[in-house]
Amino acid sequence: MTTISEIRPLPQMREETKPTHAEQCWNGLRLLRIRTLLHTIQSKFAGSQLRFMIAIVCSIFFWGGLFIVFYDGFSFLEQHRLITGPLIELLFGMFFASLLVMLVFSTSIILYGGLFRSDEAEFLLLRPIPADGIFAFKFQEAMAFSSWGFLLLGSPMMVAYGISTGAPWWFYVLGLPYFLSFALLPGAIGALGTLLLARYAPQSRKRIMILSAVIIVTIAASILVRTYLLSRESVTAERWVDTVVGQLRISNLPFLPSQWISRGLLAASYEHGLSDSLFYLMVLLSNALAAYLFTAWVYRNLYRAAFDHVRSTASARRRKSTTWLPWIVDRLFIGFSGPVKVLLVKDVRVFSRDPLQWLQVVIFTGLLAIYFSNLQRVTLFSTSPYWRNLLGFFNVAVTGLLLSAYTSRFIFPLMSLEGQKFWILGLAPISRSAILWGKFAFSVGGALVVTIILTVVSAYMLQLEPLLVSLQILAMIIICFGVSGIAVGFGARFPELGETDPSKIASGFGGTLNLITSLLFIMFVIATMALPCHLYSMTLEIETGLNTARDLNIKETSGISFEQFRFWLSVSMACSVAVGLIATFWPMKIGVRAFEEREF
Amino acid sequence: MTAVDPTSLANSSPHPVALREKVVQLEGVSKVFGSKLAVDDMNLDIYAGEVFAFLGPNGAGKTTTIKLMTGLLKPMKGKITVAGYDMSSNSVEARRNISFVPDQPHLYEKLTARDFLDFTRNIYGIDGPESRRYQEELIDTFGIRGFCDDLIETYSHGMRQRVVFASALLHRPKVLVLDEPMVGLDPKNMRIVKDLMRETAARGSAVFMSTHTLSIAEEVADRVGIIRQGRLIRCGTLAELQTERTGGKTLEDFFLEVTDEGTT
Repeated sequence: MTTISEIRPLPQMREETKPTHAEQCWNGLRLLRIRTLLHTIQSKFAGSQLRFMIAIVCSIFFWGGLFIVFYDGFSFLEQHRLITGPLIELLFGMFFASLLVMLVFSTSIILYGGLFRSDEAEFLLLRPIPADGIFAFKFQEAMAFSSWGFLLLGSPMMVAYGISTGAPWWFYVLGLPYFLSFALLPGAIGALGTLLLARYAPQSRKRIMILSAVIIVTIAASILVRTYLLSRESVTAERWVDTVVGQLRISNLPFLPSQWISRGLLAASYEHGLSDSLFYLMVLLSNALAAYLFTAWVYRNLYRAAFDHVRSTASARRRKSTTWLPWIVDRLFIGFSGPVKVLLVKDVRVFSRDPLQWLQVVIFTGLLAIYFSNLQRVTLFSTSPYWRNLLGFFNVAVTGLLLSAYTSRFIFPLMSLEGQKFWILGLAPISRSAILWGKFAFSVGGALVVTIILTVVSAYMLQLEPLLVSLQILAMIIICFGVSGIAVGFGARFPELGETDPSKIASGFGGTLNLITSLLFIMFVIATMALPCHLYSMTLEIETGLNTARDLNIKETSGISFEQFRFWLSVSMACSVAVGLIATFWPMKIGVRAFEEREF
Repeated sequence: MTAVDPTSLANSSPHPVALREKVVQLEGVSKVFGSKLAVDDMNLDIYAGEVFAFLGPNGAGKTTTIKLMTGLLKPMKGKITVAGYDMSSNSVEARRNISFVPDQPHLYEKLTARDFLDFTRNIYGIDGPESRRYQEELIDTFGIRGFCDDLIETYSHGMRQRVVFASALLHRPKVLVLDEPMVGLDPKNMRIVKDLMRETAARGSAVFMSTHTLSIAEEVADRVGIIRQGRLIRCGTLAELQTERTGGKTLEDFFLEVTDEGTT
């Protein structure tokens, strides 16, 4: 070992060129960000160019698919003159209000992990970096992770709206600054909430998060209950829609950013709306920046103290070991071996003891259940076979999409997380394939419970015929198995072994591929199962002699006969089951193979 | 064994470094985790140019003391000074003068060792040809040059530790804090770390090391502090402790005796 130079003061830089300490730190963090990003892209590309290209092609394909869906939807509304100012503003407002809530929650959860629980936070806090510098650095990361899905979903929708309404060029140009300003605001609010929780109630943070979720679901439920009570008098669909629109205006209150963005984007879509749109953009941007600056200032003053409070909180809370859980698992998963059942119990315990995980499931499932339980009020849907069928499959699709989000977020990262602790399972007398099938059983079990309940509620509220109910339940079972197979199989095939944050694992290459594959699979199953029913529902619509057939321009030749329906339904069921089996076993096969060959 | 007044331990003189600059001072420091008193009224001075070994059983409060000293945690009571800067009121300047190498150090997997050292220089605001030359010197000192342009994710534990040590010395800290520095190292790397500690102390910095390996403490430490249940129960040079080690007791025997739960 050679010797180290003596400790001596480093040469001072000339005063006029010397950057401030904050600038130096920021330069350092920027350098860190750029080099990390560059090396990550290089290593991903060098690791497998094919994989990299597949990810890009899949993303483009997914974006294109969403664009087509949105474009068709907006064209339909435009064609039937349904795109009217207040209604579309309300729809946009609701979309952005939902995103607002989701971004507040997702940014808080990511930032809590990143700023208070990670090794990196500890590493950065040991350096002479101002607290707001660390916050800014981690905030950028959290925003990128929490809002990429928002961009992926929102951008095709906005482009489709622009094209279908013939919006001027500035509508597209303003889209990105609008999205960025909009995402910044809930991000800053979420970050502030996280800090205040960590600083003033570190022991109650989980309870407060649960309480917040309950409040959100309660507000949504109360709006819908009020809508329900008020619309009892509204016998016509038009009156009902008017009542619902009136009740849902809460998402478009003047002080809500969701209203600023929806009004601003709509103004941008008009020929003479540029100045109005720029006004709303400035309102949004100035508020977002003010919120961010305020949050950064609070972090500068409280972050270190908050970190201390979180780390000083006693975490050794005792949990009673439940005996009923192994008992239930033992009876529910007949046919699985003892070690697999032990793994299942472990996974259920880990999941149930992390409210930040299951809280998200509760919020979105709760909101969906509330929506489904209010469907009965739509008289139009309960009498028209066409609408009942369409809405029934639409609900199955929404439930399926929610399921794919759950499996991407919770199931896909399981194998990556397990890989880091593989010495535990690796030494256990259990085959690696059994470990994977255990995860699969955990995923299918949970998915079936949530989705079948939702499907039955939706079917009951829409008063669907037993055949249609059975078909939708079958579709959901196929989806549960397929989506679980994809998530577990791809999770084992494309693990992110160095990453400990499940949200980051889910948004990596494998996670994105898993999400896209799941969505394509769901779309295929639903389209295949729904098509014969859709065609037959047209026939029924004409036979019932309802006005909707005329309103929807359904011709007598549009539908199919009962015999044709039976034949095509059998074909579609066979196709869906076959594709479901492939989606279940093929990813599991490649996952098991990769997992068995992997060296830890 | 008789109980010891912790306040008297901070300056358990005479010892070889008593007249040197105090680079770390803990004055009546306490820290509570929930209902557990993790550090209890700790008084401790660390001097420039010494290697101080901090010993104690698992859960005694060693890592908490280190985290308090490095500013990661705030004391519930008491005051911590590093190189004359109060860790509470002037934490940025205090942190400029201290380096910490944890037992499981965090490294950015997608950086190379050189990137990581560049980043460290930027964060500490040290730039210019002199600091770059010193960086290259550290790269050679720790034998990093052969792999310094590879991604850290490909490094072994020993390679990582060497990068961490190089980055810890890059800003020439007055205090180097090491938490279990020998864990997972092979004999060659252990030798490098021991030499590093002695050399760093010889150049005028203080080295504060927490360890379970008593032989290492005997080998390299000028002074030893023993902590039990958050209280500093012994502190002094090995020679001072030797006076208590009667009947041919080894340091291990002595350590086990004084840290035994029933003993005061």
